[in-house]
Amino acid sequence: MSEEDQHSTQPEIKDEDANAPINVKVVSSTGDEVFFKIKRSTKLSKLQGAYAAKVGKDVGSIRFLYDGSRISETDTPASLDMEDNDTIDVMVEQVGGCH
Amino acid sequence: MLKAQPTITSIVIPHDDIDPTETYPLWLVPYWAELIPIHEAQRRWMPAVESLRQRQRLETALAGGSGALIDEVYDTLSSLEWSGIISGFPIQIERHYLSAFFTNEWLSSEHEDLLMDLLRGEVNDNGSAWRVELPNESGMFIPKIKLAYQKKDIYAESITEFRWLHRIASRLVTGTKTLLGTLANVCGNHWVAIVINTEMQTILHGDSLGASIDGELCSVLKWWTYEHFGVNFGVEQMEIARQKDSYSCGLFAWGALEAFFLDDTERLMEDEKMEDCRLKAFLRIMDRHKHQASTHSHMSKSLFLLFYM
Repeated sequence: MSEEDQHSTQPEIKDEDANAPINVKVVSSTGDEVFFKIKRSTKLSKLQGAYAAKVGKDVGSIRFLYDGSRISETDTPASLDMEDNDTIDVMVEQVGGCH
Repeated sequence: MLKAQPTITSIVIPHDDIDPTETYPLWLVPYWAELIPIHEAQRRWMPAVESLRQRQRLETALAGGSGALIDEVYDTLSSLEWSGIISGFPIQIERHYLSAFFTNEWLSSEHEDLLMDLLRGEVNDNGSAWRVELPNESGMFIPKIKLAYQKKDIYAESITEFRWLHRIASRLVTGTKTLLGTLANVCGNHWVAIVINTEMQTILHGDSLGASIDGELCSVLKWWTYEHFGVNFGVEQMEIARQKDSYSCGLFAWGALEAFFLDDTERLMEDEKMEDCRLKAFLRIMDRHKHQASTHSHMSKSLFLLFYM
């Protein structure tokens, strides 16, 4: 992923640790990858919105998982204890009734 | 914008067909901003409530019908706020998803996650949780293994990207857990039940249409189990009720897992009226919701109002 695909979505915050950006890889179920640079204090909902806009989908139609658990509105990299180069999975809602 | 500019005291609607110069008070904007999502939720609930109403009219006239069940559901709906999040579940799912339990709508991964969490609760209650692994986000677990299969050359080293799978596999390999249950979506339109039994080195597969395991699903699961156990797992059929309609596979697959893990064949829903099974599933979800629902909500519109709108 090139530099211009990286996003920074949070205004500056004074606390130094909270300000430290980390790289996060968002991976779709087909294996497509989008990279973001995000501050540890930034709500991941902002990243979700940016990802949805980038892939041209409604943010409500896709699910974001970190380490097998769904990311909530208030989660941040810091609250999830995310590390640099960590991965977020993106899954689309699936339906089934009959073949 | 309106708050930032206190000099603005009214608004006009340039696309107003009747009088585009008419001025309106500022509260009109937040009023509609709040009302539009409520209308959207109402739009989703309307066919569900109408379907239930029709059944209520029919069933109460029939001896031995489902009248009592429908009445119970109707009562439950009368106290359910029809927008907001379902309480009592680890993932946040909008309440309008519940409307699918009143129609023949296909169940989505959101519904399956609710149902699987009901199973998780019962497995905890019956004391078998120590050996049973039911992954969170069960609808997403198999897609993640499929993704790992695509990247099998780097899977073992990709601890960060596949931490979820490695952690679950670790519990299975060390014997902390010996059974894994999940649902798999096949071809984007069909739910099947999957159980991995590590003691028997077997993958159990339950398809309510009676089909054998999908080729890709089989390859992926055999690869994943071999990757961690170094043994070729066999594939066997698991007990599941036979589907006779075009919309109930999601319930049957869940029922097969309930029957397996709770050792209760009644959970298979064999020869049951699936419309009733959906309502019973709804009541189980509502039971959990009611126990944990907050008494305060900023949207306290109940479905009861819907009946009179």
